Amino acid sequence: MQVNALGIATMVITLASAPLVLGTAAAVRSRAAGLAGPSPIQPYRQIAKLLRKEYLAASATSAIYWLGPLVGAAAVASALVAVPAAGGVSLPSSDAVIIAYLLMLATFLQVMAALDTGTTFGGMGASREVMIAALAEPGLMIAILGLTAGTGTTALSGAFAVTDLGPMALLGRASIAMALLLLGLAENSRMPFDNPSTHLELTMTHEAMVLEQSGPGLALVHLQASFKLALFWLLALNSVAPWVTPESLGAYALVAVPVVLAIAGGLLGLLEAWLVKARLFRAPDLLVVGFAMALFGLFVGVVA
Amino acid sequence: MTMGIGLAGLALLAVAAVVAAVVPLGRVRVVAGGFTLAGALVLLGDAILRVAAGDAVARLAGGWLGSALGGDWFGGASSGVFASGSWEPFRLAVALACAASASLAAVHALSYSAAWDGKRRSRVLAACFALFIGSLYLVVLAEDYWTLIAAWEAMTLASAVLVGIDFERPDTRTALVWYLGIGQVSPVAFTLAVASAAPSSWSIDAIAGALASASGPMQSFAFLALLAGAAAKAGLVPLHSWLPLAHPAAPSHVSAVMSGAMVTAGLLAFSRLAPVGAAPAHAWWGWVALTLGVVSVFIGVINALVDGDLKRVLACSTIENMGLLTVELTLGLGLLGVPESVERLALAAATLHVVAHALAKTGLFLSAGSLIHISGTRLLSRMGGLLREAPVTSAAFIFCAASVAAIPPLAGFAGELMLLRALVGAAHELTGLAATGVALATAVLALGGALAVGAYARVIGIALLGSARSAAEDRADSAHRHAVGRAERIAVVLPAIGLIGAPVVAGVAALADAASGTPWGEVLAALAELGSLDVVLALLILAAFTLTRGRIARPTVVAPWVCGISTATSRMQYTADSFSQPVIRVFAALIQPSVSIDVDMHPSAEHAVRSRTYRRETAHIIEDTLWRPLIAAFVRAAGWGKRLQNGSISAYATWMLLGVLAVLLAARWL
Repeated sequence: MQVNALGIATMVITLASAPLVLGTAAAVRSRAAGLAGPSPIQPYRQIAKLLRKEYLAASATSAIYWLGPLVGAAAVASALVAVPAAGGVSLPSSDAVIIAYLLMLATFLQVMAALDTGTTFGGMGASREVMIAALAEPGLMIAILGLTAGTGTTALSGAFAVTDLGPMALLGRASIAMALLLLGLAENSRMPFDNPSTHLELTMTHEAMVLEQSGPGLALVHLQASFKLALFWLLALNSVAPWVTPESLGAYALVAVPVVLAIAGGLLGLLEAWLVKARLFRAPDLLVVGFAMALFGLFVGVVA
Repeated sequence: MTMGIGLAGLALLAVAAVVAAVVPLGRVRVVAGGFTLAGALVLLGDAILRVAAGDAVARLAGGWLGSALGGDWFGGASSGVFASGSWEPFRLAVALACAASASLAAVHALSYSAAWDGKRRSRVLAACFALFIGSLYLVVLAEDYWTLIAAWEAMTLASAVLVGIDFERPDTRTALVWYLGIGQVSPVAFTLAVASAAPSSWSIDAIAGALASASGPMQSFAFLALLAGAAAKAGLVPLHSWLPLAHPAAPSHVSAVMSGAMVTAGLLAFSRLAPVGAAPAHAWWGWVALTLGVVSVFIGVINALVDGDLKRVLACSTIENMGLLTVELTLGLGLLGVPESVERLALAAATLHVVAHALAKTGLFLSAGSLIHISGTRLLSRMGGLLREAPVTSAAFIFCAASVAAIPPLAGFAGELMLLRALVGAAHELTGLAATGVALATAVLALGGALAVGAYARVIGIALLGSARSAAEDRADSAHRHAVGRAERIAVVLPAIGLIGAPVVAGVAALADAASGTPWGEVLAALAELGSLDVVLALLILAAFTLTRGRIARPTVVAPWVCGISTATSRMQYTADSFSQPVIRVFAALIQPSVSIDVDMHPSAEHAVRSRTYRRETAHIIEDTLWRPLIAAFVRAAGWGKRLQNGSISAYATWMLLGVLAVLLAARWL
């Protein structure tokens, strides 16, 4: 395991700039809708405020209630820093399968923490999250197969080692990147799967799960959400541009990652201003589309 | 002199069975249980020695024991039960799984089976449990076919008695019929396969050799028969129907061994007998086995997510895991024609999966047994908040569940990791249709993996977390109510520690470079990878903990917010049924849910509702479309058969005449 100083610096910068995705997304979405909207750094203020507040727990809860956000945030963070763009290709978690299952660990904990509150909304969000996460998983695994089609190993260092992609391979990779982004919208409970800024509990998925969380716990939940969103964008970016790594960019990577994440948030904001939330039971159809795109990418990648 | 120390364990178990029949009724649990535990631990020692040093140490110890006992008692057995020879890793893993599962269950039974104290059937329970785990281990030890089949039948019958121990209940009797019915498939199918080989001797190696050189169609017949025999014991679709029936009926320590270890014995028999060397000539074999595994994964996991009975959920999860194991063996035994590196990886996945699943599933059934005793019900929707009532048992349940659901960084995930890597490797090496098939199988397995996580999160969230659903007085009335005994706690904590600790130990061993070059190199490497993942996770958890200045671990307890509903009660929690509703809706075509709501009106007031009962039934597609028509056809045929037996002498004379004529005609032509 060799991790150099630049790699570690990129990992820290990636973790620190992940909330930018949420910030620019909200800012752009508001501007596109003709509203003044919050500042792009609002999530940082929010997290700082929550970290100072008191942590409240419902009377039925056990240790799972606070272990959920704590371990969940750590699990997603360890997956995020393992993406090549974040500089972690030599980490033990830098493996496509391990990343997928680290996300599963976070979901498992989040669902348990939601049910631990013993409230209606916790159960409601948890049950919907399980459905969406389960249906997103086959597409994710096919995308992994597509990324690793050239090498036959699941290590990301191998999957992203091919830096000069031919046109066909690039087409396959682009399809996989689109699939990752679509599945990422589902996994992150963004539009059209879920409206992150809704105030109507009955339509919520992710937000319903964390309704009872407060203070430091909620801060970690927000951090975890931003890590997960950043993870999918960076993975998609690396699929088509495997050269975005600290190894090939050098110190520029320290600037590149925050810029990329800010732009990604902006794109997400535009998308969310344009889309409306679909019914919950339309989600399977959209996920099948994601699955098909990943499968197309796999076939094109294998042929190329 | 080649007997193993396994024989000493088997002897102790036989003593336990005899003791159970003769000691005073009040002592059965402790005395017979003690002998059973001692026997199981000796078997565990045998398995560990075989794993640790190949067969050498076990043989040495056996030789020492043999001479200590006074010489060449079993000297003639060199080609019999206890012939040595190095075991392949999968067989060692099954031996370890059986012995570990049996030992844990024997510890648990010391206090758990107190519910049967003073009843006459406690003798039957203790004796058959000892016979069951003894014959289970003998199935693994067996070197010749008739020992295998005799042990196999003893195992089935002893466990059938245990399944039917509470025979007064109608669903127990149903379970028993299904268990015995499907259980008959295995010996019949195995014997047909073996007969088709016409082996020169009855040793299992000779039979496998004879099958390997048999003609093509004969080989295919034997392959399918062996696969069917294994599927019946392992609970693969469509021979899985007995699992969700038999496990809830049996006492929990028995279901633990049945579900943790016995099911893998079927796949071991398959892997030892099947002519896998001839697989390259029969490309379709691999696809049959792969389909069997993938379908079992999906059917198992979807039922685990839907069922409302704690033990049935665990049984369905076993179907899923046996499906995964079948996929691993399909790749690992070379049925799909993948390169050797992929085969090795898949076989390593299978060996790890067998042991990790045995530990976790044993822990799950054992803790489920204790939790069911506490709450007095098996229904998830009447449980809730059990983590407060039994923190140790519940925590062990959570860790074992996470391991079965392949949540990193527990040991169970290492098997899933190696399996997925093997599948990625296979998809890379194969081409065309075969690669597509593997990719689609991977997608279904991924869906199954995510649904398994959901299924276990549901069981934990509904049964162990939140607050209690049934009123406290309701529970106090329960006939079975008792506290969780110390032996029960020990038996469930040990597997949880093993599943958490194995990656750490393997990580340390990897630092010392102790594992390279052994047949377990791949298994230990995958576990060691999780060990280093532990380090990364621990660092990041520490960072997050520091970020909150440690306050996250000290929340202030208040009433739940629930969006301002001030009268939230525990009855407003999601139930097991409501939790699985979205998934049921997505897979409605397969599950065919039907909902009925009974409204009980007050007799004197027109519009006053006294109670509403919501009931959701789900279809069991294999049972409904395959088994029920088959059983109906069989019953009809039996009805026709009955007409032959009509009591009239002249009819019997006619049948005899026709019979003699048939024999004569047959003799004329054959």
